[in-house]
Amino acid sequence: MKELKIFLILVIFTGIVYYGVEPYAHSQMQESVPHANFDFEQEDKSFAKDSLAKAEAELAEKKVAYESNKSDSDLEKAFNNAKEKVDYIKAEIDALNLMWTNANVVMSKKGDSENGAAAIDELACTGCHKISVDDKKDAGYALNVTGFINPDLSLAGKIYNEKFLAALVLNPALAMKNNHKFNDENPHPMSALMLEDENGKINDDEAQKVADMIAYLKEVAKKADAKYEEEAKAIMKEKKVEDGAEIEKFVNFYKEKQAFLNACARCHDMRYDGLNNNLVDKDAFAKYQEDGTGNHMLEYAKNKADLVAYMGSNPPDLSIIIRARSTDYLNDFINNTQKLLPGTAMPRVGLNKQGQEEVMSYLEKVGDSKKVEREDLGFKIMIYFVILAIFAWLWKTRIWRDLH
Amino acid sequence: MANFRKSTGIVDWLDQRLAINKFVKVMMTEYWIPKKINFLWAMGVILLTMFAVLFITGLLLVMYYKPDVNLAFDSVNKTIMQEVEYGWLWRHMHGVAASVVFLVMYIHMFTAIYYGSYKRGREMIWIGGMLLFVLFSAEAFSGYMLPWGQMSYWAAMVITNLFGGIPFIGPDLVEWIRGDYAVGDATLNRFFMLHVCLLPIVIIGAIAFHFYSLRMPHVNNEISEELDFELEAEKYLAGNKKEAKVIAFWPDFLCKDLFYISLFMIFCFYLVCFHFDFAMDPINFDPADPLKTPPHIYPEWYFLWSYEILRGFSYEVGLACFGIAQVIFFLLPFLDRSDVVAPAHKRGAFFVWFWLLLIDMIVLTIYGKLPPVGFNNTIATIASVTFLALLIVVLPIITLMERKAK
Repeated sequence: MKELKIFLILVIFTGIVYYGVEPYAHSQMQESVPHANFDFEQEDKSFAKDSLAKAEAELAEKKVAYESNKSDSDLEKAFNNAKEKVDYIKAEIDALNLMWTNANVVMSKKGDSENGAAAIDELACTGCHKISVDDKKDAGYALNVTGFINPDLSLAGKIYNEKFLAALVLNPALAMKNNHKFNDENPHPMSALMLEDENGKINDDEAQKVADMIAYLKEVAKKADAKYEEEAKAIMKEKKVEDGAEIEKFVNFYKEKQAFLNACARCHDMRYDGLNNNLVDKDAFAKYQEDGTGNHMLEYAKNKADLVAYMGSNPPDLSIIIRARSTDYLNDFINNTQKLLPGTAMPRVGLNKQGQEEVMSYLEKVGDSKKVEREDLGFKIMIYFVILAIFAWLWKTRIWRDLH
Repeated sequence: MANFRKSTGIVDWLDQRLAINKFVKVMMTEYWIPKKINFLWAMGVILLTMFAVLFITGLLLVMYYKPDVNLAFDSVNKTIMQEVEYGWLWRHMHGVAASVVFLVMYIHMFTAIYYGSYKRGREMIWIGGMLLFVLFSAEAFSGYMLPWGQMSYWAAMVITNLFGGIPFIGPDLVEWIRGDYAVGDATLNRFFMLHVCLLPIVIIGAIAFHFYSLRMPHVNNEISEELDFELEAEKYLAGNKKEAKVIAFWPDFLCKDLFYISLFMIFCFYLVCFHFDFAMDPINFDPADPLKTPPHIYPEWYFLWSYEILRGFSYEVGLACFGIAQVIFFLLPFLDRSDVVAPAHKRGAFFVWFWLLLIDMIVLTIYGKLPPVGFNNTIATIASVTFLALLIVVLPIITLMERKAK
């Protein structure tokens, strides 16, 4: 009884320390944000509303400070900056409303993928974007002007949200939340398609074109998915793997990796899975850029220096990001990069729920590949010590029979 | 040469040459421990087990770890964690054990304070124990540097920087410790030497001393009764085990310990495999970047209370108080001016003092982790002053009063 009391005191005090040092302290260090919302229109609008509220509160504060001491030039500067920020966010909200209204018009149309293929040619998308699974491989070779490989659109219809794709086509910088980096003198590399009228609204014909394009991309993505599945199975066959479960596991991993390659690897390395720009043979890459011959992994290589110049800092290697951040953080961050890292140059690429799950699964398989083994073994080890405790107790009672 | 006769078996053969029978009696079967103790007395053996776990997993890790700023991070997070068979297990065990060992050390320490196991002939046990605490702290600090993550680098920067506050020799001392102007490859390599070579050797020596220092005064008991160990031992050896107030270290004491260790290991391995973020902070899975300061820099939880004392005052005062806090516990046997040896609940004012100290250290620990903003800073100063006052002023006074009252 007394020992139980002592043990309870231990548990209570340890529990208090643990709670204070871990959950409570970490909650104080990281402001809590609303969770990921795959309805990107809602996410953007509510985030902009929250940002505006914060900016207006700060403006009120700075105004009070300035009014109390009008001669202080620093306070004046702070007040003017706060005013500019509020105006900027208000303008952004107007642009967002317009963009999402237009996107909704697009979504109201029923897309036809054959017309979509024609629209892609008409709007010259393949001037910059490859759609390799549909034999449109020619773009991108000489277009490394920003140190940036424009993404292959083969998988876009599967992993990205449809309405987001419509918004992206209409206003790339705003949809991807990169608009703070670009202006008229320094425009976004993906040039505007100019589908809107002078009021900024899209008419039915243009909206239909965009809807057709998206339908086409979805068709293409199905082909791409099937192609990757075949590639994965071929690799398993070459390695003479027969076990069905193992083949399925590899096929899933291969497809998840494709999602990562498409959505993330243009900027982020994954050196624990062999994606390391530093190891790319620069000469081989130059040749690949010239005539397309060589290892397909080079497709995801980039001139690191150009990329750093474009982004402002080195996009971190994601090999172990799954251990360095919580899954909540990563999910919320990928969904809206500005929410957790305001001002970041990382675009919000518009992964839909399934696409994001595939990317997260890939991150876990590379960064925490032993998770399943760890949880399995942990359970077994605990059982071992339960059994040992029973035997130890039996031994103790035998010895202590003579002692009590 | 002594008389050697034909042995009656292998035990006798070894006994004639190494006196193993006498050795086992002295160390185990006739090493007397009081009977009236509770499970808190098992903390010592649990600590030894934890040290063994750390040592063995450490040996396994050192087979693959590379102490070089360009190679360290990947040698841990790729090679050991993902390529070596069960490498992840050794790394998780090592990290979790390093954190849990401090929890057990604090329990062990506060048990000793509560039952007065630092007084009346047991001062050297206490001092040896505090020495072990300091050595383990240095070992933990140097070990945390090795994975070369963000916190490894920045905690090292902050803590080595502290020495710059020492008058006259400060800045040169910092450079000497680091081996360079800033924390870098030189620092990593020498902390690797400390962590893997020098400190483990000194720790093993200190453990041996700690065990040796227990023998003359004997282990304390739950009611702090002063036992006549020879008398009680005679009762035991005469066959009167039930009446004897002592038990033998082996098998009586250790069989109970094995039970406690098994229970403890269930908890420990739950942490190792399912709940380890408290010991392996996610921030340290970002590779060290001298150009990117983390928004929050903090040490491991067991250092938080003294980190908070450092932050509780202005720079020089804080540094001085931090230095005092590291050594003040060594002086406990001498700050306690009374010769009363009893468990705290029999010592009135000391009982209150004990819980105040514990609560104050918990406050210091939690606030040591919180960002130093606003009211947190006020709490820091109050709690730090309370800590120093409790030990340097209150304890001598109440124990003097206790002695006079006797």
